[in-house]
Amino acid sequence: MKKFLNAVGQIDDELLDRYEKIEKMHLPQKKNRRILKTVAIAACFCIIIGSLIAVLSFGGNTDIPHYSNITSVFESFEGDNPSSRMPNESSNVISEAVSDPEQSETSNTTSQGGNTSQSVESSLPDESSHGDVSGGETSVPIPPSELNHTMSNEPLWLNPVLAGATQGGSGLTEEQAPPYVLFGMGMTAVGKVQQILPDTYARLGASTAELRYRVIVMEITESVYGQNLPNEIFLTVPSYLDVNALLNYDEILFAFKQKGFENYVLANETQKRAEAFSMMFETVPGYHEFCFVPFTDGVLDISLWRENGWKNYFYEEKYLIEFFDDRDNFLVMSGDTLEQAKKNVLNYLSDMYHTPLDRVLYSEIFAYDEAKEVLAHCKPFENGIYSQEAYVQNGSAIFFERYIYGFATNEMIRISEKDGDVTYYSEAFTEEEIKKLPNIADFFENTDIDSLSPMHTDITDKLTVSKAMIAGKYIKYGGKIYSVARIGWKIIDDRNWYCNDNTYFLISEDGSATLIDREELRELTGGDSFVTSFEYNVFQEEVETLE
Amino acid sequence: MERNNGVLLSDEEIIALYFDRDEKAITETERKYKSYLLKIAYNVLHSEQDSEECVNDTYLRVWNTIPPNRPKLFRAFLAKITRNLAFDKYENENRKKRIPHGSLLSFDEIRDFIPDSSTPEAELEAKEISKVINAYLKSTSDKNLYIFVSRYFFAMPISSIAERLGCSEATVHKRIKAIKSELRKRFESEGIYI
Repeated sequence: MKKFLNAVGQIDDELLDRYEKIEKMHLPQKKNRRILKTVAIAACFCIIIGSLIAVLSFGGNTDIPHYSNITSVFESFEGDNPSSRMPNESSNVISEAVSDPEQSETSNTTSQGGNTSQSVESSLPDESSHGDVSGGETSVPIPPSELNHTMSNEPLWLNPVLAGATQGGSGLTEEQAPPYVLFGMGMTAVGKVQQILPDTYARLGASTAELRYRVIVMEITESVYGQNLPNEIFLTVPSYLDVNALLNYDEILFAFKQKGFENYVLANETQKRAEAFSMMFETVPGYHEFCFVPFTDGVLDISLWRENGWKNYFYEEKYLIEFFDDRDNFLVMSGDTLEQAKKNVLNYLSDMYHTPLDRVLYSEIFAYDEAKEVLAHCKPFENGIYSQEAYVQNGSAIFFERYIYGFATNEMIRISEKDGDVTYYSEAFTEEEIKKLPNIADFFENTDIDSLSPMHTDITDKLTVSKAMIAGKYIKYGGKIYSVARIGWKIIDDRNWYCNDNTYFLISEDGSATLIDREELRELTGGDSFVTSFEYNVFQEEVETLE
Repeated sequence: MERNNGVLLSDEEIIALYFDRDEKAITETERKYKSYLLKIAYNVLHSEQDSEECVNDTYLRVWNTIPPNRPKLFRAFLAKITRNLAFDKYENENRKKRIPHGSLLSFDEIRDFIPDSSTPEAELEAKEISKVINAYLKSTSDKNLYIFVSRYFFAMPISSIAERLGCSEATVHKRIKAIKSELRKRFESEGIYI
């Protein structure tokens, strides 16, 4: 059987392509227009908000953190000038989280000196433990208006052949040499680690396959490539690397790329909340562990890659010696001084790249009138914030994604760097509407979730039910905003088979909640992917036999 | 957060990202194909969580496969990886008795395709069997291809296939019987036994 199934699994791609074409021919016959329209709208929304929803999507795995359950508190932002909206504290933590999937307790929100103040879940760390995470004492907020970089987002490091081996913390065997990389182009600076934030972070919407990060505050003492760099930046480093190892060095030549502008929001997985950072940068994807080149007494120090646990394996000495004995492998080699290394970098960059590569320039984007309007529109508001992100692929762009009380919404705006084109991907939430919105966190706080049960599964004595997650989202569709709370369940039977189920509540402006059927909610929200489309009750599915 | 800018990259662009070792390749793949791949995995595994895991494994597999591979049909390439991972997972889970028997395909159902033989030398690798299947599918009608791939590649229930084709389940069963018969002949003529 396995051989047959394996064989079927190897059928030609062309046949699968033909299959798809046949399916397209047949499917429309089975669907009426209304359904098609709904599906089209749903698909559209999925495209727009897919990953935001992934934040809130039901994984059902209690081992995998989800940060859909985010409540928040927002600083009161004054003024329209972006720089005035980025005081050290106000660009700090914007929210706190609700749910531990296991405990599934509720939380409240608190303000951080702002005028929005609500209760705080006692189990959560107090604000002071993370209050200086972004823009605290160690950070220097950079007014966007002062940003006039020549920043490249292209990777600094080349030779992708072995790069894959460096991903995901897989160990090297004796047959595998360390990846050979070269300095490429992009932002490069000399600096040192100023602070390492204690928590682990993820992109909002990160799947389990994606990296988790630590965030460090990196002091820039000298800009090697890249103009007008801030003196301090927030820098994400994959969590499989031991960032503490970087503390051993006072001079680090490091490469990085821009991730976000003001209010770049990451999910704090440790504390289950969202945090906003100003001027977020990241190490170069695929080459993270070679983005830091430390120097001791002005001379290249290869000890970072040796036995200090920078990665979850260390390179064998012979590989290290060989690797750093050849400048073809790396722009720096054993014995190089920092000055030599900087020259190498600059020479390499100027030799290799003669034309500007994709990059996002804040000032350029907002030179366009329409984009300026977006900036004015997307200022932080009393109970929410827009997360901004720089994105470079097929043209640079900046994105604004709205969060209210720390919960995702389906509102997103994209501005193209090339021509300042602005695209709105959902109906905008108006100020009036936002003011009236209930805080979904209050629902979780005031609801005895333990007394609830899965909606779509008949619970029998043989089934064990546990909560897997709680989540919320504000969805605007058809001129109406739906405040949706979602409780995910994991249901296991006595044979250890399991399935997932979700229970949905619609929360009205006065905070009262109504249980709502999944299909009805999908209809209301235009098929928003926050409302799962999976079928339940796999236990009761009839065993299908062909013969 | 993913870039839900509404502009999906073309397959070629996504593949280029893989070649650039840009992690956005995974994000873009997920954005464009996640729901499609979830459906494939779910057909086999009947578990949302397992399907999610399977699809996540798919991304990693693709990341490790491209380069050097440069698939011509990226969607089909992904589908195959997901489907095969799902079957592997199914087998593992089934060994642990976590998946109901019959939620996929029965052994008897498969055995009908290929003549029994106790001669080990007659066993051929899956690739050779696949050649026969490919040749058959290329020569058969659209409807037969659709039924075969739906059932044995995507593990779709008969009822779903019938619904999509707008025919009765009995018709689908009849077609499958005919396909089995034809394939069996081809396997025999190629000396393939299992």
